Amino acid sequence: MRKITLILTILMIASVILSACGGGGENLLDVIKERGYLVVSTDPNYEPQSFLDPAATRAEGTVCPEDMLTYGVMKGFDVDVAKAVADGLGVEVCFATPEWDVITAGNWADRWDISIGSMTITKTRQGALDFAHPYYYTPAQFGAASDSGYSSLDDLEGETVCVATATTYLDWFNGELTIPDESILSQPPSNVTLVELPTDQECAQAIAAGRPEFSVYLTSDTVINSNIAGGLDVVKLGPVVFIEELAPAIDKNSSYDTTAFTEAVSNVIEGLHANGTLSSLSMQWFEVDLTKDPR
Amino acid sequence: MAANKVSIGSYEEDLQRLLAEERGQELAQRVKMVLAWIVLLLVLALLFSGLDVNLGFTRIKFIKLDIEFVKEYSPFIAEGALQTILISIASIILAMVLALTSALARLSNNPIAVAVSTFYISLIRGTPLYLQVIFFFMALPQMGIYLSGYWAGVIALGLNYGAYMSEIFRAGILAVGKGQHEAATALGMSPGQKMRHIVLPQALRMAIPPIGNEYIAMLKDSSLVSATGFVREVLWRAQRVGRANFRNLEALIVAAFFYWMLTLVFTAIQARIEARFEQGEREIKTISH
Repeated sequence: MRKITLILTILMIASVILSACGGGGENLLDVIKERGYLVVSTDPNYEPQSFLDPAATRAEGTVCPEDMLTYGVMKGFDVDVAKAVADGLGVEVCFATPEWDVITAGNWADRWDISIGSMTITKTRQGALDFAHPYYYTPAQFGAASDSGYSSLDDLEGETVCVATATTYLDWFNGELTIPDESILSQPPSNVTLVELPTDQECAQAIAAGRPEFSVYLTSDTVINSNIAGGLDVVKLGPVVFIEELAPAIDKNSSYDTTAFTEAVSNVIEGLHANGTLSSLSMQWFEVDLTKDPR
Repeated sequence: MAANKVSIGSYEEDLQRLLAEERGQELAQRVKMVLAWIVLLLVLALLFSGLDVNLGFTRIKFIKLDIEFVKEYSPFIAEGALQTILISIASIILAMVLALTSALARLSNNPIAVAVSTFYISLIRGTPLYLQVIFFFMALPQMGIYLSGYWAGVIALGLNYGAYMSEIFRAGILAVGKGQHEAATALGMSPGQKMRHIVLPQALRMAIPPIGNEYIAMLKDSSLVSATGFVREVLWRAQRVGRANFRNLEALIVAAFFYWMLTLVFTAIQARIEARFEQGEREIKTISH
């Protein structure tokens, strides 16, 4: 009796493993079109790129599964671009909100189809993710408390700077930024002590709250603009240090064939560049057109 | 005969008087406790009152919160409370089943059962809960098993707390006196009957306070499930609106308030369950007197 149970258990485990090995290679684009919705991951920590509207209710007649957010509950530039991409593919857009480092690590286990979350193209990320055509470009900019006493990048030598974890800003300091060389405009100041916080916003808040550990942070030009507009007592410090290309990312390890999907997304984005949709979205959310390649 | 009657009467009167006195004392104790709670709550409220008191020789400033933010975003954060409750209730049920099973396995004479139980407890207690959540969500799909964010979280939390609670059940079972086992055997009970009717009811009674502890800890650990991206409970909501509005402190305090309320409700439920089990214990004591 006991032997039979043991054999049955082994057979069950073996069948599960074997069934997982088979299949694969199905075309993701077809799967999405048949399903009727595109699952986009984006981290709603970044206004104006991506944030939650607490007052909004779930879209009516949505085909999005219960545990995903709909367009309208999520708002922002990235969210509007995601909507435009989904429209271009002829499906509804739905949002998942995993932690940022879970998104950048790849191996999504087909939980979501694409990340449209202001992700910078880097060589490291390209190891795990495929990138579609960039939809905008962000300059990296230092921000400082208005009474910090710093006036140029050289003043930062030997000082303490706040950066968010797992960002390109951290990589730039560590000399690990692997964006194309012509996009890096300055080298980091030497002997800088880095304080890593979960997001850029925490850096800005800590500075505004008068924490004495640091009074300068590195983030995107747009985040600093929104910090200033939000009433934080910070100013821009020095010139733009590098330019990031931000593009939709697709998991390399998907169990589906993603070639046609990546191409279709790139085509939609090129169309959105050409017909001015991206420029007007950028003007709407950033009050400046960030969608033209600065090089 | 007559003297006897008088003495019985006075004994009963004495008893009634003593019982009334005891009840009066109990009531006074309760009133004092409630008053002390109210004072402590007022002190807590004062701490966050934002008052700026000038005492002449010194100035005391209290913590000031953005009440507008709290008003505007509390409903949004509160929506996550339902998720938190649903996750932690499903998880605690799974955890209790696993804990009891593995405690019984651990105490059995079967070496395989003991090995499975100790291996489970060792592996789960020795690895981080965050990893377990991510494992059930992101690794199982490679084996063709797709759990939703909610269920991946429930299974991870259930397995995790089951391992910790297994030791609570084991301690409870071991704490049942040897005499109870012997008495049950002497009454002709089989080992299974003994476990069901004699040992487990007593073990459970002892296990309730520490289980309550675990449940409350789980309530707060359930926030880890949000990492999957498909569950948005209290803490996740608080962090998102807090960061977006530069009001982290306010948002986290709102979240803390909801966690505390949930804990209070659960503590009340726990007290009732405890009282029920205690009732049985008292009846036994009365009979034995």
